[in-house]
Amino acid sequence: MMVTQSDAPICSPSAALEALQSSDNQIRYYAAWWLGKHQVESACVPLCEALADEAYRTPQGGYPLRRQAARALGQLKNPQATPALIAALKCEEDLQLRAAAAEALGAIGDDRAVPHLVALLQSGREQPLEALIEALGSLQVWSVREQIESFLNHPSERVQCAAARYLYLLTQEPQYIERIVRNLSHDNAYLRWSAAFDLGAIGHLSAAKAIQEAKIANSLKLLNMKRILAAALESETETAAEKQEKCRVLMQAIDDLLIQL
Amino acid sequence: MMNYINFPSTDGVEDSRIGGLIAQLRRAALPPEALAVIQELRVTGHPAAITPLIEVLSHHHPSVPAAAVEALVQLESASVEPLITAFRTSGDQGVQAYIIQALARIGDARALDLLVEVVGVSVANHCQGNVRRVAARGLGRIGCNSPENVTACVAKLSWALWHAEDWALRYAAAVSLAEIGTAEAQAALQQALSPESDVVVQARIQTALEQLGTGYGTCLRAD
Repeated sequence: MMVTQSDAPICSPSAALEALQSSDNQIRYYAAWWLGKHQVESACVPLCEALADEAYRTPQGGYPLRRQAARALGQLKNPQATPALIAALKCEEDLQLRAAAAEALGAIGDDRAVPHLVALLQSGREQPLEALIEALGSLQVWSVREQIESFLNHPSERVQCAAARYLYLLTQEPQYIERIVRNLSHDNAYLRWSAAFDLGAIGHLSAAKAIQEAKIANSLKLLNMKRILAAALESETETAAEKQEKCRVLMQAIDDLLIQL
Repeated sequence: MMNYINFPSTDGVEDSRIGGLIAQLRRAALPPEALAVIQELRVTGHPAAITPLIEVLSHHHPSVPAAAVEALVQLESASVEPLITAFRTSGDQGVQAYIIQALARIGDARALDLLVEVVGVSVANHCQGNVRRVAARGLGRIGCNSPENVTACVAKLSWALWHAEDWALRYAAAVSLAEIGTAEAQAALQQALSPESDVVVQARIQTALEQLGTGYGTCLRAD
């Protein structure tokens, strides 16, 4: 195994790939983050291998490197990683890893993940519900609609919001978006933050308007407006005229936010 | 621009009213009280208000500095020098951020060097990403307001558009270059178009070029 010097900064894909094999777990963790951030496609196989890593383990039994590798694979969006991520979904000991794997599978959008995500949702055991519901929404798995509807009354508001986001994507009914918008003015800053991200993922103009007016940090507004604009630009279902109008409105809104702190 | 060199009052009545408001602002314990006084000072448009307005940029409640920024922006030309001095003497990053916001919105050429400095060098302070972004928008305004500084503004904005890691800073640089709209600004946008990796920033550059191509979006110079 190649061992990198622990103080060498990572500044190229090859340095990051080498650092992923380091003997220092912190460096491996950072390398996995770097490879994801820079979307280094050649890292797909080594990151899949890191999903089975045994070396880096917390006293509580969690696998930090595996989680980071799952997040990075979500950024690579390479379907080649699907089987390894499905295997990571089955990790009994680490709920956060299952959440990261579900998120990555949602981002990759490979249908092979569907039965495994549905099985997790229906397992009756403790699961990363928010991540699972979001992934099922991204993959447009509408067969579990009834079960997701029941989560609108879940004790966790974040799970409620994830369910509302799923149901909005399916039905386009305003009641679901309003459910999330209500959380934009919640007393709890984390719920406001989470609601902004839910709206950013919906990619609808009414969501953009709600974000603009929410009491959240300006940088959070910018980031989520950008996600909505990116979705509009990449959309294949809208007509050219619809797309153009949507982009015009979103760009104007982002332009206006730039000079605010 | 309005001229504040000649103070509006000579009889002392106005001055004593301003003095009273300033004392009241410095005593104000609660945000609503401070906001009301800031509003009154803003209406007077009196340059004596500048120093106390800069003082409350460090107020703990964010609504107060936000209102003070509004008032300072309205005093425009007169507040530029005091704001630059306050930036240099304050060690508080929060206060400095409000100062940059006020200077960016005023867009006065005297703030050019400071805004260029804040937009940054290659090893930049990433924690202050929002301040760099605001400063980049300020350079767009300066480029519009003072033709003699267009080249300096375009140079820094081109650098930010080509090299900054933060998408929002690149986006802000593109908007500012579009606002300046000269041939050199247009060339800088053109050069950034294909190397740009972010789909949103690229779309904004594209829109800017289309608008400039049709003569729309170029700022109207005062002269």
